[in-house]
Amino acid sequence: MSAAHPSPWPEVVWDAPMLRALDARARTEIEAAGRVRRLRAGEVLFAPGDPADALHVVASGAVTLSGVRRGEVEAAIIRRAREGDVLGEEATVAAFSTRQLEARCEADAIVAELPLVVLKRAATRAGGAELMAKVERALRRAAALDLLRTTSFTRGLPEADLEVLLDAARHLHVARGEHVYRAGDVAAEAFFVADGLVQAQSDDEGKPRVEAYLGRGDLFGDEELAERESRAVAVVAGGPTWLVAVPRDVFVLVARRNAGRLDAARRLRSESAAALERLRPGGQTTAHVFRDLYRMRIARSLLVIDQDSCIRCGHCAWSCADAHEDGVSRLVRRGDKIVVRDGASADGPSGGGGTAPLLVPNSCQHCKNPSCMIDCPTGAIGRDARGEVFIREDLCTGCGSCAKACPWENIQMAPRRDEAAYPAVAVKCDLCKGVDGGPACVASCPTQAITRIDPSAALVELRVPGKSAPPVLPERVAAWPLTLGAGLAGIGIAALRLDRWSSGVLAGALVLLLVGYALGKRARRPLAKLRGRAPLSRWLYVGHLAVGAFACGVFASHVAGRVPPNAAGALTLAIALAAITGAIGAAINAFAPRALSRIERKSVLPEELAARPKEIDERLFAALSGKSELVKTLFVKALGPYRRSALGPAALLLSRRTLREEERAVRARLDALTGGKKGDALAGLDELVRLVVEHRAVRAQRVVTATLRGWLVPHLAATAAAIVLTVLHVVAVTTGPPAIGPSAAARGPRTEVRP
Amino acid sequence: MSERARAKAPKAIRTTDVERPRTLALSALGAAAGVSIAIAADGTPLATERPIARPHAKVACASCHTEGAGAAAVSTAPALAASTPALGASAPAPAAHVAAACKTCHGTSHASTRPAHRSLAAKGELTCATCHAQHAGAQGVTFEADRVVRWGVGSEIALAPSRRSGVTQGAIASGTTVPLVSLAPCAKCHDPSRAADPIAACVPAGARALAAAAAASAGAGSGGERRPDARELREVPSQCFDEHAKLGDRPGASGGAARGPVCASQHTDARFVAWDAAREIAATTAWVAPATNAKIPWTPAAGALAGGLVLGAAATAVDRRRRRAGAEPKAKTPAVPAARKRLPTVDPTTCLGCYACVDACPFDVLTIDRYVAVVARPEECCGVVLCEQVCPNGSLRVEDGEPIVDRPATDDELESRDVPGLFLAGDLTGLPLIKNAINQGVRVIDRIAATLPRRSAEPLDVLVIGAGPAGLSAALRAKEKGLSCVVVEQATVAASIKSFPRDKIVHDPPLDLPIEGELWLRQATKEELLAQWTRIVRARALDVREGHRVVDLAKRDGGFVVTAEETDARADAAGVGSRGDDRAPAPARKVELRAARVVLAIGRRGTPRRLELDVEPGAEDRVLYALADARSFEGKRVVVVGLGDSAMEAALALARQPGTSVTISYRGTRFARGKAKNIAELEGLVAKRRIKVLFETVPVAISRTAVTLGGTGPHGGRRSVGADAMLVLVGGVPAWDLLTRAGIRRPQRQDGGP
Repeated sequence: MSAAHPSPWPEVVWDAPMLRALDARARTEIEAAGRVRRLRAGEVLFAPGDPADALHVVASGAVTLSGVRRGEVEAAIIRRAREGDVLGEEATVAAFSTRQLEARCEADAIVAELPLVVLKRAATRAGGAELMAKVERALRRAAALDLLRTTSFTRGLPEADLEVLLDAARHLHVARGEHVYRAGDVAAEAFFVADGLVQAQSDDEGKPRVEAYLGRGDLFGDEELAERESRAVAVVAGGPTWLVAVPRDVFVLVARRNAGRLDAARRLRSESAAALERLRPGGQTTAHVFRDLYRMRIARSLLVIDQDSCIRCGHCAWSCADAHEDGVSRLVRRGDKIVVRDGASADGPSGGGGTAPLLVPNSCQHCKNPSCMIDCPTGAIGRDARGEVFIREDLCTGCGSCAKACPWENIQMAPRRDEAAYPAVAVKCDLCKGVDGGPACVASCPTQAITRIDPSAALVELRVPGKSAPPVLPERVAAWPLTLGAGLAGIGIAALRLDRWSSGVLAGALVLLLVGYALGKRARRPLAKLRGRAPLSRWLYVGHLAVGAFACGVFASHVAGRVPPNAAGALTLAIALAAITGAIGAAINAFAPRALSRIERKSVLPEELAARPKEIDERLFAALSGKSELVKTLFVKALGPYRRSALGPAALLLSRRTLREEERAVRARLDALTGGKKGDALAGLDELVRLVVEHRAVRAQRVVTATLRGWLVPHLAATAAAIVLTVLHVVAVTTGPPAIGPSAAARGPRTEVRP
Repeated sequence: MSERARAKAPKAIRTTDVERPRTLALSALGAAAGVSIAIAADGTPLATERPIARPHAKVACASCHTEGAGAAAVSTAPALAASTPALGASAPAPAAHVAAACKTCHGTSHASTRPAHRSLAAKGELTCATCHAQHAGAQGVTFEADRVVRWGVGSEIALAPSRRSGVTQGAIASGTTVPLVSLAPCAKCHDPSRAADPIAACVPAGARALAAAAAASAGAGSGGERRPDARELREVPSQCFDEHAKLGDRPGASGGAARGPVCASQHTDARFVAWDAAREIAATTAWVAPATNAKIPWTPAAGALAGGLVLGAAATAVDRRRRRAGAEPKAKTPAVPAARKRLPTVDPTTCLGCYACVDACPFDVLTIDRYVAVVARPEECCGVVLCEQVCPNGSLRVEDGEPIVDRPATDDELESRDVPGLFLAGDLTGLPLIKNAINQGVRVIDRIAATLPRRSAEPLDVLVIGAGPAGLSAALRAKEKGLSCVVVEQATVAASIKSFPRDKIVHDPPLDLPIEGELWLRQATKEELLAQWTRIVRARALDVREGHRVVDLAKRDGGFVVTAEETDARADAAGVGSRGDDRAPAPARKVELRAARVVLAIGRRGTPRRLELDVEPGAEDRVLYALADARSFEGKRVVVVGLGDSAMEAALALARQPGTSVTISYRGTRFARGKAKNIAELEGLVAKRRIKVLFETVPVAISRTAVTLGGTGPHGGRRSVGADAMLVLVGGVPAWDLLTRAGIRRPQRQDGGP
């Protein structure tokens, strides 16, 4: 952009109020860094989602600014910018913000683009901090005006009232986790969310309970103003947030003048809150999308694992460790579970009323606004043009600031390989940069359960209304048609009665093919290039199943039901064992994940499951202390035996209940015991019920996880034995039938003497 | 950086997901090894060694199954035969080359005497092996000099020589063999049940009924076809022996010698005698079951599974151990506090300002100021070098400062230097934190168990004084080690923890010290921790004598005599600091306990630091040294003296009560010590005017309704604050009176002492 311009920019650009004070040098600098765009009518200057890093001044023509108003579905025109008007002031809002509105040319237009960084620097140099502050104030005010125009409250508000609001407004930046106000504070201001996300929360026995999420354009804190009440709930920033605060007197004045609008705004807010409430799928998970809406909003590329099809094999984490030279997996397969509505799967095979339980594992989500990058003291973390956040290992000192800054523990500290430098280095998902075939975890999944999504595009709850989106998960290659077909072909082969040699050679080839699967899926380099194009690992898995099913027929044909007392017989047994365990494994892989995801609250690593019951017990006993005698009696009578029951996990699995349903069932049993009593005496019972159900569920999870991961051991053992025995068998049959050896002669015929 | 959460940078872990391929590969390797070992140990043959009828036992396989006859047939035909131990109707005929091989030894003269059979043979549908299947169903009788052997495939039964045996009478040459043929091959074409069938003469009387019954059932089953199942007849010997030679023909007529040695030895004159004898033996002895040799080779399969599981389990165990070792903090548990005051020093030229040390410090000693770490609260430093360990580039070092005094001298094993046999644990040693106290309790008992003389005259091995974290931990460990142990506690179990404010969370996430023993909960409030401890005391039946205050401790005859007097435990639990109090209850019963070793775990807060006050008569009970429950101060005016953590927490708890007004008196000029969280919360409440803080003041007098504060600063002066109670929380001092009585020398203090 720094190419010399043939002529200076039109004077009208510099006539914009906030640019008037710039001196000639500042203008030259800006002209060198910026550019003048000539756009045709209908052409888009910027669209929602574009990076907001520049200011636009219309030199000629007209540009309309349109956006979706809060509470509406259709985009509406916010304002028209004509000659000399400024557009895109929201660039000043935050460091990494994106455009929320669309700017489209009404007529052919010439628009000057002023990079914000250059503008700020030039203004500071030209007029010192004073001028900069003035420019910034003007920009902010303009941006706030645009914002107010998009809110429901101010829709159609006379411009004069808008001006009144703005003149009194105070701009407020709040960091994630900071309180805007606490419950009980004196209400002195009303707030508009200009950018970011805040949550209204109440205190629920020491833990915050989110009452509502408020996003860009929402008005809050106004209800208590009229009566000077103290705040009923606390409001906390979910992420870095820019708020426009309007003092009470001004707000009340404007609200009284436009009484109907305020009511409309409130109604709208309660409707949207109700709509959010409806989206929560019965609260069957504790960690729903809404638990951390900020995360969903800020994530640019969120790694999710569909728990209904994940077979917990760990290929993703393994391939991650394998793809990186230091052998450290950036992906740890544990974390929050969210349940999302999957628009595509409503009638698809994943069923479940169109919801998909997704695990959000600890893996970098390449935030739009990365706090790790901000916190790094050495500037080792950067973000590239496509928004990928990366760590420069050379600059990393291993201090752990980024790892601590990441709210989701997506950065880990790993030992550094070269001892000379700092002992530790921060590692995180780098989207397998430089590796053929894209992220190894996604490429290596045999069930296509893991995928990277853009939450704001893929999740129904977060999607911009009216925008159609692809399903959350990629379409899965179905395993059963091919496997079934191959199995039938195998039966055909068995019926064909091949002769010994052809069936034997074919069987041997198939064994090689089947064993090759295990090696092929682990081999990275030869297959990596293919991976980006097709779900290769899935195809390998399906192929393994199909070849296995077909091979069963060939084996049957070759074996013909005999188990001779030699290596061939042992081979028959080994192959049979491998086939049976393989078939069982395929069945387990097909059915167990769903049973597991039903009883999982959050996902933990298999090795952590063993310690969980004890942890829950600790919490259980802690929760039990200080409870009423009735609750303690109920625990001894009903919940204690429920927790101890050895067959409980099996019963839970067989009942096919979700945790929520199970809790309800247990609660119903307790109600039957107490005769439906209610009151303070039963306080805290729900927590105990939750814990004992969790206790049982964790034990069931352990069993299912052990099954999911355990069947492979006998399968592999049988396969390894089969390989050894195949070699012996092949050696034996190719060297011809042995002469009667010494061993046979020594044994001789079996003799017994009868009188 | 507001409200910066104290966080710990997560470490990269090796999960089973990553380790699993190696574990699985090892288990596969184990399976391969297992199968190899099993095959070697079990002697499982590589290829088939099929049983064969006795006459052919010494004949090499290749003699019949020749390479030239077609490789496929060689390998497949015998295998097939092996699978059908008895010749069945479904068994396919052996390949032609095998039949051809018979002729190489037995000659070509074994044509059937029956034309129909001959024509079948010519067509190749009836070979030698059809009747004489050597690997299946062959049967025969061999006459030897001293016995008769009836043999089947791979098995034989020796019969005692019968009186009529031709061998003994010389009628039959020793070694004469007569093959028996079952009716099963005949039944392929013939119907043994029909009297009109040509083979009727060969069918034994009993067998015909059998065949008829079989035929009837077969007919009923399949309709038209009335042929009995050959399987029914496969153990019924045919009684005809004239298939290859007419009964009238003399053997040898066709020239036995000319047909080779096999024939010559068999076709003697006594052939008919042998036939008769064989017929009789066939009729009187049971069919010899063939040696099926169909033992299923389970051993290799079992070996594979065992090998796989064993190596897999071993690899898993190793992984688990490694993972645990990796998860355990590397920091060495401090047992004894450093002898000198230790303080971190930061090199500002290299400090990155990365917060690693700030986050590591459990006492908020460090903070970041203008992008470098600075020591903000040096008096809080406990000398544990966590900050030094986490500093990424060595900018921060913990250096020794002035020596620490006012602490009983102990050696590295926490044994008193002045009184051997007396051990110290917990806060008393000068090392803070509940976790450290728990660890020290364990350590002390381990030491005692190792050094305690085997024979001791004392009734008790260990006497623990104080049932706090250190004391309980010691008692538990003693129980584990099998030492007799009594805990003497002046108040109740864990009274110190009880005096914590309600719901105080007693955990320190960043302090990553390994914990020995089971007393610790990962994250618990005061009440939860208490409940757990009480449960453990009850479950382990620890002998804790509550309400016994130790008044004297003396060494006698290598052991100790501890004198305790009973107190009212309840009263003391409320106001712990009553040792030496004027209003001590009347001396109660004294108890003497004798023990070989004594563990002093009385903590430091047993005696709170006191203030010199003018106390108005009647206002004595207005001065408190511990806050048990803030709720009891609802609606009252309280003056809190001190601004340490416990004072701040008490003030916060009090301020939360409705209607309670809290005034803090502090001699310092600012918030100087304590946890950042407490300070932030307190400042918030001060801003909201819920709490008043009066800096640079000390209480000088108390009346029933007011506390008089004296100023210490330049604008000193007295002021009176209305108060219903005064809570003095300015730290504690070791109970030196008991310690000195026990013989521990008190080090010289530099600042004069309390």
